[in-house]
Amino acid sequence: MPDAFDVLHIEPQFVVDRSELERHHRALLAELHPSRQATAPAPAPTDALFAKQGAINAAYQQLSDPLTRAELLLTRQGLSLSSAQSPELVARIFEQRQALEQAVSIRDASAVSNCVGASRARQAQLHSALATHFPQGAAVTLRQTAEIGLILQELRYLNKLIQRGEQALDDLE
Amino acid sequence: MKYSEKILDHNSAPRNVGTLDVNDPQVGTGLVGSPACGDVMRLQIRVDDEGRIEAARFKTFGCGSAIAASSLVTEWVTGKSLEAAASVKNEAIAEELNLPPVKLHCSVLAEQAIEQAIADYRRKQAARKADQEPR
Repeated sequence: MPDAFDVLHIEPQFVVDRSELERHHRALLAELHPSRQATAPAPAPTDALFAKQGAINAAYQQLSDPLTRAELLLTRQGLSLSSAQSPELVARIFEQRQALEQAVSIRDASAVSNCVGASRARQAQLHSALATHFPQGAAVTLRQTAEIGLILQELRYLNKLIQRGEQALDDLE
Repeated sequence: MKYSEKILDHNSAPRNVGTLDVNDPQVGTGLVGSPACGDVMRLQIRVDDEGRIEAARFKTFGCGSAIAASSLVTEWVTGKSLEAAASVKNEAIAEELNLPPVKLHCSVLAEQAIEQAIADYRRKQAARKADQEPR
């Protein structure tokens, strides 16, 4: 089955060219558009068309997020991540969640947005770290999968934290 | 998704939310997380001299099912011996709360939390005993 890289005709690498990704995404959608079909008048959209558009959009989402992009690359290489957890990571995330909820409970919007900002900064750091673990044009080594696994875990925790913080900010406004 | 009455009840009135002193030798702390869903959970127990859990507290940052599962476990283990508390299984939690399949990991998390809390308490007690023994 074709995966997101195949669907969007993107070289399966961790570092992707954003503008190329956008271009392919839009071109593929445009090709499918009823007004581009040979028949006139343009055919009514069908379920099959919606399914194709859906697959293209899903692939685009998957490649846009470095977390899911990394997961996809590992799957392509037939690597699975160990479920080994880091108690230090869990403890750190717990502290951050606690600080966030504390800020939410006293309705301190600027403290909440500081928590979200700090998590976003960390997220960006982890994204760059990921890039170094996926050598261009080479396979990921087993040793790297352990480190990648922990980074992906942290990214998932951070996603949840940021999501929670942003929802709280909306409520506070 | 529709939550069961019991999940809603534990969320609107969570039992035993709070914190026990991590450094108290009578207190065991379990801190667990589920990277797949991003939830984190802390469950603590204070054990009396007879080996019974006299108090249990939790703090969970996660979805309603995770909160309900940890709340339920604190309720179940309070007043129990460590052995009885260690036999709390995720299947029983899931059944009691009527958790849907996609939320089963929440009950697994709660089981891991109580396991860790008990292990932490035992570790502390063993270390204390070793300290007291004449060298």
